[in-house]
Amino acid sequence: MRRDLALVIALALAALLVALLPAETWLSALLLVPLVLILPGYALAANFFAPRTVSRIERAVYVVTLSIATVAIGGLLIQLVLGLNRGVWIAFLGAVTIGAALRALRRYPDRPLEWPAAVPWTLPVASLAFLVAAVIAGLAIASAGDGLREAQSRIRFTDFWLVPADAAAVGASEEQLEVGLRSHEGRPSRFDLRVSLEGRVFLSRSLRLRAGESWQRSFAAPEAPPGVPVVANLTRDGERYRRLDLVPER
Amino acid sequence: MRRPHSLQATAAGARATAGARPRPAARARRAPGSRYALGLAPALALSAAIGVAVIAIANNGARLEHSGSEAAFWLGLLLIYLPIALRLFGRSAAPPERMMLVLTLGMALYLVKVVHSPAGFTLHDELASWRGVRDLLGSGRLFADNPLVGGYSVFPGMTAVTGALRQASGLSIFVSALILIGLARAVLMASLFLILQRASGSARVAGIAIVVYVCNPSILYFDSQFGYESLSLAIAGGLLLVVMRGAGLDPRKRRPSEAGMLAALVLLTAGLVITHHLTAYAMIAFLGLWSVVIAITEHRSVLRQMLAPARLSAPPRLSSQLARLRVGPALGCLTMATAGLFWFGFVAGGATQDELGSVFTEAISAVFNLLTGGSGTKTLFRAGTGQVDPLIVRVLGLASVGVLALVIPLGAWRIWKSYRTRTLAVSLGVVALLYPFTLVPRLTQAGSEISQRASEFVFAGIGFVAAVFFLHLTKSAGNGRARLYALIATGLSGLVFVGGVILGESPVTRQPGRFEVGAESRSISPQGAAAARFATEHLPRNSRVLVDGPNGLLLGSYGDLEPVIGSIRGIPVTTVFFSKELGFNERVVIVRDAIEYVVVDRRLGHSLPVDGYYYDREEPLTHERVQPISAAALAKFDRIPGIDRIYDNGPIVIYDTTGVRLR
Repeated sequence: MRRDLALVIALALAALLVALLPAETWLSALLLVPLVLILPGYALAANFFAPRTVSRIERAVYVVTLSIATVAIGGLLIQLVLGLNRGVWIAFLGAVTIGAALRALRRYPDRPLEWPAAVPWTLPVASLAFLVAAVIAGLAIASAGDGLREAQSRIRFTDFWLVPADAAAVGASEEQLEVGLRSHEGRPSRFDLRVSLEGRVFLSRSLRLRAGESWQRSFAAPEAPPGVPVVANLTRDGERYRRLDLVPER
Repeated sequence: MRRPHSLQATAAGARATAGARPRPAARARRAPGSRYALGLAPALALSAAIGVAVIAIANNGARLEHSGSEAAFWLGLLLIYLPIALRLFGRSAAPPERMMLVLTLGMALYLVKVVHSPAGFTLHDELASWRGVRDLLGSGRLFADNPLVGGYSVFPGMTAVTGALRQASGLSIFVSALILIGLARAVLMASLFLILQRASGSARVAGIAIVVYVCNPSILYFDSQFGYESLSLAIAGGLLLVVMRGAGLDPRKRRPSEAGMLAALVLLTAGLVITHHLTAYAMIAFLGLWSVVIAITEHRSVLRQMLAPARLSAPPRLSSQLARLRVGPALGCLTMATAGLFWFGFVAGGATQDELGSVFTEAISAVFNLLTGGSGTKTLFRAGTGQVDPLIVRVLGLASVGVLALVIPLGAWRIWKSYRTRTLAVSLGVVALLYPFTLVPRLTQAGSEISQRASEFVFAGIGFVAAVFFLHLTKSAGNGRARLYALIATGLSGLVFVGGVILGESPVTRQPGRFEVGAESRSISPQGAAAARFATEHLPRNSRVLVDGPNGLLLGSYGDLEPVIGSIRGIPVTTVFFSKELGFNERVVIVRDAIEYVVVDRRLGHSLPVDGYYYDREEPLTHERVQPISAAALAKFDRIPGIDRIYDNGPIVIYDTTGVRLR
């Protein structure tokens, strides 16, 4: 029995089992990424190209490209009749992988590939060097992420909005408005909010928000003459900061 | 122990090119236990990883506007490129080492893109792709209209694969895309190596050819982005390998079954055709060219190329005719052309014409005007802001083109002399000769994109002819002289590599940094992302919005809105921004084009756009503007009855136009 195809079937079955678990973990990602990008192509390539007719590297190219083409074409056809979701994808890819692997096992039962069983890990120093290179590259990406976060943390601003709200969502019968703000100030800041109609303040709040914190509030739109807007003014640390306006109920 | 087939193939190739002199690599392969020797590949992987780290640090410095970050960026790139190039130009590396070096080079250059945008998408096509995947996840269906790039909706291959990866694994779209495109890059490098190795019979030629191939201006960012072209190049590599295998370009004794190759050919063809138009058309053109070369050099008609000799005992049935089909370039071309025509005719024709038609017609028109004196050339190395690259950069950019212009005819001549019977080699030589024709459009504004996108295909041929020429130059040299030649060639290819980066990416977007107006990735700001987040949380999905280009990308992707460009009733929609008042024309645009929101980024009034336009290439004074857009024109929405100011984060304000539309 070919160990490589047996391994492919086992991995596909394991992926199907893991997919049944409710929580998505690193283990499920580890098994399910190959189910999309590796296993279907491996099983198909085992059918299309008999053992020892193509080199290992060439087979690896086919493994990935056939997987990609299978997912693309399969998705295209399936979505004509079914919505694509996690279950559909996993069932489809599992079926293709296991079906193709079983067929290859019948066609070429006792002609094992050299790959992956004979991958030459003969040089521990070389393997170590590649591992160190991968770690350095990983650290470089992490450092780039940190650098981006640091640069972005220096850009300080606050989102401020005043929009019509979904009355049904808040269980109200009259027209609702929503006012809100989200702080990206990089430090705790004090905000004073005043919402008014024709100079009459009907909503006033003093807020202290930390970086990343948000606040929002829905309220009934006041009776207003046609074309007269509700005005929301925001001050930050005692200084005028933002102003919005919205004409309710048109 | 039996010698692995892959090494038999490469050894045969090496004999064909090495001449009489025994080479160190050949001796090394004969030594017991050294068949898999990776030589200096591990050490060079380390140097490449250090190069990536240097670039990451340089980019961090650039974000904080530290001096020296640009120099560090170039240092990092050269740390990746030069050591690997020197090793590949040399004689002593064995084929497995060359393959490993090629993979290392390709992946390190991919990581340069990753450390440029390590936490999210910043490029145009990436954000458009993100929207496509997001729509798939939401609806479970492909073909949803993509408001950012129409072509993505009718070429859903990458969307389907990324969606499958996202849904199956639970990883984010961003991480799924990084894995997918990284894998595609590795596959592209491996397949290109195998293709060029078989075209020449030499792993050394293949390695050198790829050293030159990665000098193409698209490799660093465009072909590394989460875009359908990046994925399609990998599929095209696999497809070409199948065709080559069918054509018998491998000295391996055992041949896969014709049915198996045919099945792989059909599956990969279908995968490619639904993934990317341009790559599919390029493949049709290349396979057609190769078939014609075979027909000319081997006196075999195209039909004979597609069919195995008839078996007399076979009855004249369709199934027996199908059984006679022989995979090769002619059948590959026919399959691709049939599938491409079907997809164009029944699914993607309109979107493809919309996307590519205008690009090609504008480029052709611009080149025609240039040649007939109807217009002058664009000013090379000059950004839309008027900023001109330093002299040294301009010299390097032009010198890189000069080196290639010199090498291509010499290499093509050498192919004609030595490889005339190798049809694939001749075809690659013809591809290389297209290079000057791809340069002419670069001299025009409208043709720059065509020139840039052609490079990723043409450079496969350029790399090949350059490698053939270099091997001819050094074949009779002693070891000392060969090392000197390798050093000189490394220097020259380094020059071409640097020139490719200069030509391919403006100095503004080469590295991240502070916000710039109209500068693609440099215009993607936290405020823009926050506005997009507000939009997706509070505004109706697919609302039509007028917005500048970069913020439009964010609102059209993360914001789930539909940015509007173009014109309505002959009025360009951008007039809404440029006019000082909201007059009749502007109201016509808002009402007739059903514009629900207008987004104003007040930073636009501070400077000229780097790319030459703020909103749309069709806007007035594109590339000719000498003053920034008027701040008063941007502020006019604050005082217009019927327009509500509903969102403000400082630089970005969103206005609701309901009042204007209902009047």
